[in-house]
Amino acid sequence: MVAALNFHFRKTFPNGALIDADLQIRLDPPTVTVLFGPSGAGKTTILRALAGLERSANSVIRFGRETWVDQNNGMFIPPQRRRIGFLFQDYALFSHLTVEGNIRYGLRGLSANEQLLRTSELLERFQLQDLATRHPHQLSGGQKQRVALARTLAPQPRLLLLDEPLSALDGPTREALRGELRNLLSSLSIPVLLVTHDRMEALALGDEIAIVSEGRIVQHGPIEEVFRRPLTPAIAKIVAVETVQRARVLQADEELVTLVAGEARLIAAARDFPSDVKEAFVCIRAEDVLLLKSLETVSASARNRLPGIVKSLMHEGPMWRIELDCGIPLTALLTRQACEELALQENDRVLAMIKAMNVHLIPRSS
Amino acid sequence: MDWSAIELSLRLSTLTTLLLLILGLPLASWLAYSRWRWKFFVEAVVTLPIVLPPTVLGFYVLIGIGPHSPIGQAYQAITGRGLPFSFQGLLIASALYSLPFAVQPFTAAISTVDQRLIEASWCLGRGWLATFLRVILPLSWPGILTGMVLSFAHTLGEFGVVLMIGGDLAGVTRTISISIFDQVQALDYGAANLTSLALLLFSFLVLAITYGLQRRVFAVWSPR
Repeated sequence: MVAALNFHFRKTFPNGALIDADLQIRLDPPTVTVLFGPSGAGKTTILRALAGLERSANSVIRFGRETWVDQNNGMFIPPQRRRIGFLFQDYALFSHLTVEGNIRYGLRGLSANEQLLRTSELLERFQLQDLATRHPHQLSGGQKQRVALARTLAPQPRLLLLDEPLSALDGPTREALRGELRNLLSSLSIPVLLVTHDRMEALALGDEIAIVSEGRIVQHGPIEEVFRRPLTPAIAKIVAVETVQRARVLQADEELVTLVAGEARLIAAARDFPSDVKEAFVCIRAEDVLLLKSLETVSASARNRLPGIVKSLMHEGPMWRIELDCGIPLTALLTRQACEELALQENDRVLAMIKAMNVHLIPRSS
Repeated sequence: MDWSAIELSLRLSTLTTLLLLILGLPLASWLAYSRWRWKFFVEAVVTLPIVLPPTVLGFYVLIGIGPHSPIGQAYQAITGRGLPFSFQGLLIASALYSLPFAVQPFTAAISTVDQRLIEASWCLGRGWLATFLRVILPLSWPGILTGMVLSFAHTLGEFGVVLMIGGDLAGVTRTISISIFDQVQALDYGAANLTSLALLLFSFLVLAITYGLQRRVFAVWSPR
C-alpha cells in the first residue's frame, strides 16, 4: 500500500456553511498540493481540520498508518501529537518572544545544547542571524514570514500546512518571496498542503491542485491538467479559463470533434469525449490563442483559424489582454512585444489561431 | 497608630491576593474559553459580591462556615477550632468578597490573547499547561497584575464583611478599617485621621504605580 493522507471531513457550521470534503494525497514522493478556490469556500477550514484545530463528529483522517481522527470510535489525536507544521495567514508570531525565542518555542525533548544548535541552524538558513534578538513588531512583513517558516520547521514536522503564506505581504515582496518559497518547499521533501486563492501563486508553488468550492473538493489532479481541463463550467470559472462557451457537436470521430459555438466553427481533440453527447462547453485559455494580422502565414498544427475583430486591449501585468469577437467572444494574452509587432488597435481585423488540443471540451447532457 | 491592625490588614490582603491568584487563574481561564451554555450563571455568581451589601455576604458566609455547617464541622474536626471570628475565617470571607476584583480583570486579560497564538503553540507541540505558562500568562500579565492589585486594595479597605465574620478581636481580626471605626467611636479623631490618611495614601500609591507600570509595559510591546 502506498502511504497516503486520507481525509474525510463533514461539518455544518453555525452560520450554515457546510464543509463536506474528501481528499487523498500520496505522501511518497512528497508533493505540494494547493487547495485552491474562492474566498469562503472552506480551504482554511480543511487545513485547520488536518491540523486538529477543527473537530467534527463526522470525520476520518489517516496519515499513512496512523489514524488521527475516526468517527467510529471517537478517536481524536490533538494537534500537539500530530507532528505537523502550521503556518498561519498572519504568521501568529509570539509578540513577547524574540525571533530566536519564537524559533526555539517548538523544540521539545532536546537538550539545551541541541536546541541552541538547531535554532542557530535555522537562523542561518533563513538569514535571520542579525535579527535573532528582535521582537516581531520590529520586523518587516517578509522577515516575519521567514521567522514563521523557521518556527514551523524547527520541530521537523511530517506534514506542512500553509495558510495563504504570501497574502500578508505587499506586492513586490510577495513576488520575490514566491520564488524563494518554491525553492524551500522543493528542498524540504515533506508533503505540503498550501491554501491560496491566487492563481499565480498556485501555479508557481504547487505540483497538484485540489479545487475547493462551497466546502467540497470538486477536482483534484496535477496542476496543469486541472487548469487546462476543468471538469465542469463552474470549475473552469474558478481556475479562470477566459473563454467558456456553449457549443453543439457537428461531427465526432476518434481523433477530432467538430463543433459550432456562436457563429464559429471549432475543432477540438476528442480525447475521451463521449461520442453520443451532442452538446458541450468549449474552454479556451487566453495564452493558447495566437494572433496573426496577415492571413497568409498559417502554421499547420493549428487547426482552428478564426477571423475576428479586436474589441479591446488591456494591460495585465507584463501582458496585454485582448478581447476579440470571432463569432464567439474570445480572449487572447500577448506579450507587449508581440502586441507591438502586430501594432494591434481596436477594430483591427485579425486571425486567431488555436490548436485543436488546446480546445478543451466539457460534455453537457441535454 | 494601631500597628497591629495595620500588620494584620497587610497580612490578610497579601494572603487573600495569593489565594485569589491560585483559585482565580483557573476560574478565569475557564470563563474565557468555555463554551458551556450555562456559563453566564457562573459569571453572575462571580460578580455577585460587587452588588451584594457586605452584610448579606458576611451573613451567609458566617452561616456557611459556622459550627452547624459541613465546612465548619469539618474544620472543627481537623483543627479543633471554629472558623468564625478567626483569621482563617476572615481569609475565606475576604477571598469571596474580592473574587470579582480578581477574576474579572484576569478573564478580560486572558480572553484578549489572540486565539491563533494559542493554536500556534498547540501545533508546535505544546500542551495546555505549557501554552498557559509560556504564551497566555506572559501576554496577559498586565491584566493579571491589575486584578491582584485590585484584590489587595479592596481587601485592605473592607469593613462590613470583616465585622460580620471577624468581630473585632485585637491582633486576630481587628483590621485597619475596624480600628479606624473604633477610634472614631472613642472620639479619638486625631488617631482616626492619621490611620485613614495612611490607608488613603497607601491605596493611592499602589494604584498609581500599577497603572503607571502598565502603561510602560504596553508601550514596549505595541508601539503606536
